[in-house]
Amino acid sequence: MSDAAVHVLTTEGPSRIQRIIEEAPSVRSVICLDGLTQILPVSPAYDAFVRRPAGVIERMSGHGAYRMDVSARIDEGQSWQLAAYIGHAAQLQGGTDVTVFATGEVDSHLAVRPVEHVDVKLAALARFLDTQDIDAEKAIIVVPDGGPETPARICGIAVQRVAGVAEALAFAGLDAPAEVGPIANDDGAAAKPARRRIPLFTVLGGAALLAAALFWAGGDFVRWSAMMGQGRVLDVETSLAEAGQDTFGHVRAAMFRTWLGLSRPASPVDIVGSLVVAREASACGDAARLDVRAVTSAFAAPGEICMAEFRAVGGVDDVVVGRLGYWPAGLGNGPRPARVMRGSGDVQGRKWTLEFKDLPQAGAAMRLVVIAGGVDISGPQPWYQDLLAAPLNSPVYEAARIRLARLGFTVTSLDWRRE
Amino acid sequence: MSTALENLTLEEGKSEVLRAALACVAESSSADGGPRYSEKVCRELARSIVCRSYAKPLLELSHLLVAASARDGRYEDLFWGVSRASAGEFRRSFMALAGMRDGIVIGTNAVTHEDGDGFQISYTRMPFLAALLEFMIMTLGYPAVDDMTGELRRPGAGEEKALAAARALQRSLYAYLKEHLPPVQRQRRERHFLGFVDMRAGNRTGADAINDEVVLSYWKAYAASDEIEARTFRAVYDTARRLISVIDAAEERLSGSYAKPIGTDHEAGEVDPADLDVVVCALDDDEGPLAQLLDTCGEQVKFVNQIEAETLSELPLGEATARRIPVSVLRNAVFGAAQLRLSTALRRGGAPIGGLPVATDPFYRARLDTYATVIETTEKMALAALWSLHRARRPEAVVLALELAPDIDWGKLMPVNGDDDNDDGAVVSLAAAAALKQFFESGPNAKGDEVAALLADARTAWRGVNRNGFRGDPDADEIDVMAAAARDVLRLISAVRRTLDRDLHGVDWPTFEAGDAVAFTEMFKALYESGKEAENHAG
Amino acid sequence: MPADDPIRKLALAALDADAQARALLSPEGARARVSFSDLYRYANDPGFVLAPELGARLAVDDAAQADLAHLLANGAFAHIPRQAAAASGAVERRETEKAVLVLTPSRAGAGEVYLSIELRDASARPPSQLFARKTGEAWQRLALPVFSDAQTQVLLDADAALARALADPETEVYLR
Repeated sequence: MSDAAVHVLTTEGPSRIQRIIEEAPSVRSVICLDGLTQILPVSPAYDAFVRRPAGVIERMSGHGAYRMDVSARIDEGQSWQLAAYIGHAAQLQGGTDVTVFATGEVDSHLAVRPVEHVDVKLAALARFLDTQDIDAEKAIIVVPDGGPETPARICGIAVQRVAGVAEALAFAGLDAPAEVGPIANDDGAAAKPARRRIPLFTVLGGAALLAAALFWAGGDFVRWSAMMGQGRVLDVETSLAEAGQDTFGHVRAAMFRTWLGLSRPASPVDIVGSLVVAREASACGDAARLDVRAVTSAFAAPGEICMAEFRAVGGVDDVVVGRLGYWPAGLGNGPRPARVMRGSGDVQGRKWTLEFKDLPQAGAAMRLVVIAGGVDISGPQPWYQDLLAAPLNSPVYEAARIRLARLGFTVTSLDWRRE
Repeated sequence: MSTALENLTLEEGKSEVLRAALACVAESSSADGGPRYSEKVCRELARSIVCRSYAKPLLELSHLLVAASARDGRYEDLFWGVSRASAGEFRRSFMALAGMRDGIVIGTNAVTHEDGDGFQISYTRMPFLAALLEFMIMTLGYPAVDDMTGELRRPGAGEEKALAAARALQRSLYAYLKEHLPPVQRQRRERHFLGFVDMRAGNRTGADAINDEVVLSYWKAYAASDEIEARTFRAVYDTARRLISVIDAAEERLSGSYAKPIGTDHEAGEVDPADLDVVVCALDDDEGPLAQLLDTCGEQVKFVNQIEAETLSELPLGEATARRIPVSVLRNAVFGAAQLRLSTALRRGGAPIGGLPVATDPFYRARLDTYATVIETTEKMALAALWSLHRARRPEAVVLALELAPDIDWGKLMPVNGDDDNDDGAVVSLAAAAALKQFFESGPNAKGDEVAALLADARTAWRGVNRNGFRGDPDADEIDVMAAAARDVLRLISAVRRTLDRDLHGVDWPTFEAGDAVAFTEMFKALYESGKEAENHAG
Repeated sequence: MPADDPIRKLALAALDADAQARALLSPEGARARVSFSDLYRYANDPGFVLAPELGARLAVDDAAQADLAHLLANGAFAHIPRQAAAASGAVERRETEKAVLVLTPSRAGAGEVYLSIELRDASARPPSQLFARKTGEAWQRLALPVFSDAQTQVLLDADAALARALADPETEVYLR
């Protein structure tokens, strides 16, 4: 894992997940204290959390036995589960650069359920944070939605209330992993996976001939397809460009681009947004004194804008990603946006929530860029630089949009400003 | 000479194994780190071994093993499941077994194995039997003991099986002791003193022949002698005291008609082990009441503090000693202590003889006053305990009240109605219950009736005390200890009062003070002239 | 009082016996042993720790060793005897009709091994301690964690005496 760690919130303070190691499948999963051979009493519950059929970790990772080491004892109960899930996801994805503090119970549908003593755990966390030097911008506190009210921040770190694991993972800077094997719900319906892949040799509509041609394309297609399936869009673009250097490569690349074009979403992306407004800045923390307004292109009314929230919904089979950029001094004024929010997975789409530290004054702007396609994009994404800064009708923005279109993605953007 | 040494070494080797086993039992600790078995129980165990009076205890133990096996045949869990081998803990453990096995009746004071005539073992006996069992295991080995007692674990084990197991244990222990118990050593000092007494007895016999004059004369005659170790008056006094105890006890034992116990383990001509055990037991009686109270209370409830205990330990509280040699009791307390200080000081190169009581000092009477003061304090502690136990509504409060205020008209507590004259036991117990209730509902009132005034005194006493167990609100453990010690403290008070009022009263103390001051000073000078002490203690 | 007076004889015999009893209770020079009370607590109370000096005494006290072995056998939940004479190599699995013990090396920690115990009868009252002894060596004791679904698991240092003993076919095991 990277230096940024995942912590289990407990009533005695956060317990850092130090490592997660696969064990022999015949062994029961254990949680050990600080690298010692001391197995904590919560281990049987952890084993049940890991192992199929009831456990959710094996569904994610495909492995059914682990050893987890934690820095401090973990309370009995189930509230360690959310942090453990995030820890496992981070371990599978090579780590995260977000420091996570989490509490919550995770059920078999990956919903996050309320737990007790959240206030006590947050108080203990606050005492801990007073002695630490953690970058609040690169940290997140995740608690279950539906429980008693929680502060918006603890020592500057945002407290996010989540209803599902996917949201929590997004706040943690992680992607929601696909699960290994079928997920059986009580009603027998298959749950929508948090992340989709384009299967190799998928043929959409009347593309049988294309498939035959693609067969001729052979190994390149397989390789590009696999890379796309992993969300390595920029790598595919680079590889396609390199393939175009020779005649046959050019043909193959063109064919693949055509194929990508066929997989571009047909449904438009719907975007809605709301602003949370208060009479004065000091009222931003008082839920009773807040007002919620729908987002329009401009906001000219009196009052302070405490928070903005946007939701984008794409087609049923589409993956929706994007960024929300905040320009306090106006769109494009400055080398980069003051805040860039990745958002979190939502039902059939994505949600972005921005709690303002520097409340928007006249001239402040936000740009929401929503990208929809067949896969979740991973790795470097240089197109955001232009998509978040350039005016919508500018050639720079249009070039970035086309670039993504050629890779099978649609781009939808929304602008807002404070007047 | 070498053979004698070899024999001595051999004997020491034999006893070393036995001593190791006994030491193990004596040093066994409870869960709280205190001794598992009391000193009294350990002494009783050693006594039963030496006197070979273990036949009856082994039979008791066998019956007890049957009862203790009631749950699942594992008597070990009951015996070693208690932290401290006390009557209270055994009672609690057995209460949990009530009804688990036919033929075993668990009562409030004893457990009964109902096969045959029925065999009852009181809870107060169980600590000793537990120590005996542990000793058997330490000496014979657990596998062997398990083998001999295996039948007792099973349901339906009756009197016959208990007797068979007891005999097997007895045979094995006899064989073990034959191998490991060295021959008893004749106590030379006591025999020498008794010989002296015989010469001066005249027409006095038995313990009557031992009096204050004999004790002092013996000391004067032999203090400086190499013939026998009798240098300190204290040692001579102890010898006399012990002889009085055993002679009186032997006389009483042999004058009565006692049935010989079954399986008496002795050869013809030897002393009967049962007689021996009883007489040896009498040696503990002088220390009995004080040692018992200290044992019951431990550090939790301080009826008697350390200084008071040291003071009272100078008094022989058994029936005989103080009555026969009252002056020797005080001589030991005053001059025995002085001699100890003197010899210690001289050994350390201290001051020459000085600081001894002088003829004009009322030192014996002052000592008596000290005893009286101490026991008055103990009585005050008992009164304070009455207040604490009354508030806790413990029946032992009644015991204390009746003893501390026997002149109170307790009949006033009884209900006034015609049924008082009824002989029906049920009505009497109802009346007693009503009296008890009224007693506990009475409150302290210094100007009230006798019970109220007594409780007021008790409360005043309580408030004036600052000792362990008597501070603030005692917790449940302290109340339990206080209740358990109530009778012990009353026995102590009674024994000290009897000794002071009867045995040490009526002596012409001024005359003895005048004579003894001179006599002892002269003796000490003769014994501890310069250089003699070091010489006497060299090599 | 004549020398053959029965009262005198009894009295002096009592004094002699009392002196002998006191001498027997004097511990000086007596070789210290391990009491049965301590052995019982060691065998039945997982929270009781045998003090180092007691452990040292036990190691050289053959009688106490025999007592302890008998105590462990009496009332044991399960006994897993030494493996057959022909067995060689490390033992990874031991089983009886009551329980199965499995040793599995940990992949996470070098030199660590899992001891898993599964009871055949899920409704049986689970044991709280494990005792293991290789022939001629001292007993190794392990307090077992709470059983869940008739199973429990412990992580041991592979070099620890207990782990080595469990892997040795010459070791017998009691579950209590």
